[in-house]
Amino acid sequence: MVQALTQREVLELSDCLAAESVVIEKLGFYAAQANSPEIRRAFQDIQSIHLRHYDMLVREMEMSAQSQPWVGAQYGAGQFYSPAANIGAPQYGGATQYGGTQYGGTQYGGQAAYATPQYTGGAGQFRSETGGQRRQ
Amino acid sequence: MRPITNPSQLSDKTMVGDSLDTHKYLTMKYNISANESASSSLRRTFMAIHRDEIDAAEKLFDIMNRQGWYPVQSASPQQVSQVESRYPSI
Repeated sequence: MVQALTQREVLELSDCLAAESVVIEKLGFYAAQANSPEIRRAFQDIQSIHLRHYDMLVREMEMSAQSQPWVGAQYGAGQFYSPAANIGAPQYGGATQYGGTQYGGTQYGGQAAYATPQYTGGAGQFRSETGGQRRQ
Repeated sequence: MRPITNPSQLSDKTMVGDSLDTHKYLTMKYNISANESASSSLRRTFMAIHRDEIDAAEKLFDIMNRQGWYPVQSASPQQVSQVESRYPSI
């Protein structure tokens, strides 16, 4: 049985997800801009590591969500972070109370506030978009 | 050196240097996250990512160092022996 996350853990996870999103986007841009092939490769390699981190962090959120007895009972319309919506995971609701802390409407209101990184598969083929399919 | 201000193009040096700074910041971040974890499995996840961030920073540092963008200076024998004499071996 997976433990429920603490409030602090959720804050750390969402902070790290935000940081990973930024660095994924940035490294994609840098890879496209780089003059040296060696440096471009390095940016691409490191970007793929960050994509894996992003997935690891999302999975931690999902595992915890599945351990909650109230999952499915009180989700709002909004999303806490969008990738989960595409892989059949529970959604963190807009106005849902999560352990007394309110998400959605505050930092991650609606879907627009958080640009979801999109990875389309090919090397260096990274682009950012809000919502939509993350991976095929 | 005075920075060259060209809004449409970033130099490789600037981009690698900024990435290195970002990774130094990320290692600090994951260090805190690991320490603030109540669950052991989440702590391990943060620790694994923390390690990856350090590895990525090393890769970026090596590039900078090899290109001469991040020169480092060796400590002099005097500097080392000065510290050694202050902390005798137990």
